[in-house]
Amino acid sequence: MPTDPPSDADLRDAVRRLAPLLRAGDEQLAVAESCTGGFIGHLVSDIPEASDHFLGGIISYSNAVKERLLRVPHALIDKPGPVSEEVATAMLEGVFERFPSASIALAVTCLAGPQGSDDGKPVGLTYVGMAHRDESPHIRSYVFEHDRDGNKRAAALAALELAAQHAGGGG
Amino acid sequence: MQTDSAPTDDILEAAASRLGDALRTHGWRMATAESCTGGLIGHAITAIPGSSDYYVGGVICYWNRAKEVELGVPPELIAEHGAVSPEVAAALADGARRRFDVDFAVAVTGIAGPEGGTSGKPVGLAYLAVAHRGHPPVVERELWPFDRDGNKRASALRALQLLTVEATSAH
Repeated sequence: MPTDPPSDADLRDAVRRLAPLLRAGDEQLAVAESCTGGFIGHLVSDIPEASDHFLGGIISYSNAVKERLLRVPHALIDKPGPVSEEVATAMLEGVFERFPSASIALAVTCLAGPQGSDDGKPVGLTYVGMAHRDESPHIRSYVFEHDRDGNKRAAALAALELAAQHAGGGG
Repeated sequence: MQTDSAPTDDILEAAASRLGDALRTHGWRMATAESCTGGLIGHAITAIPGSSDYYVGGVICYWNRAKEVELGVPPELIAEHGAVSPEVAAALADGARRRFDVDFAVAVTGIAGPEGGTSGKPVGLAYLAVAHRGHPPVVERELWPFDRDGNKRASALRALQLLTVEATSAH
């Protein structure tokens, strides 16, 4: 059954849930955003309590930027492709390298649509990753069925919720 | 250019669409360097399907060290003029253009509020800069009257417009 994409209020609430967890853990967050294009950074920086714990991030929209700034291996971009668990994991490692004082990182790579990928992956396919520095990443995958904006919203919400789930000492 | 209310999502998307048309005409590519807007400009640009033809990505440089390390802004420039200054805005745009090796880059640094204002640098102050390969950066000062989210939106819209003007008049 189709559901509505997250509203502005849903997204704000998710940042408000995350903010006290970041504060309690004295965390510093950095993000690596592909398909969301900076949306997660925008949402986090909209709430002063969260932005105190936000360092910034890399918007790696093109594959070249994933490789050059986030050091995602070219071989992974080839196969399994930019929208994959492996690339989400590599983006997390890359953004920790770029932001040495980050204690927590988020990464999102997805096919927001309307076009799918050359290798036949479906529109809406999304990998969301979250990690504490030097710990194993938590990766979730989804296939969202909204329009482009809705898929970006759903991906951003999934990332914020994954962060909240593990930021509170859940390691 | 100032209006009574901050730009809506639709207005930002329309401006991003016009920017895309201006860049596509020449086959130009661009990047972003966002401080106070936190990723909103990248988010607006990537709302447009096919934006990967001209948008490669960006740096969200909330943290001042990211301005220095990722975008090559000299620490002395920040120490002397402050992070919210025309000098740093120009250096951010120029640094992003070089870092991403693209034709154009746009940068924003400002004080979105509600905290952080001083008598010399009040809440709402923003400096926007556009760098074009082979040209000195163009810088603009704005003072927005909105709340935090509104000031971010106003800066993002003006950044999209300023870049569109530069791309349209460039050869």
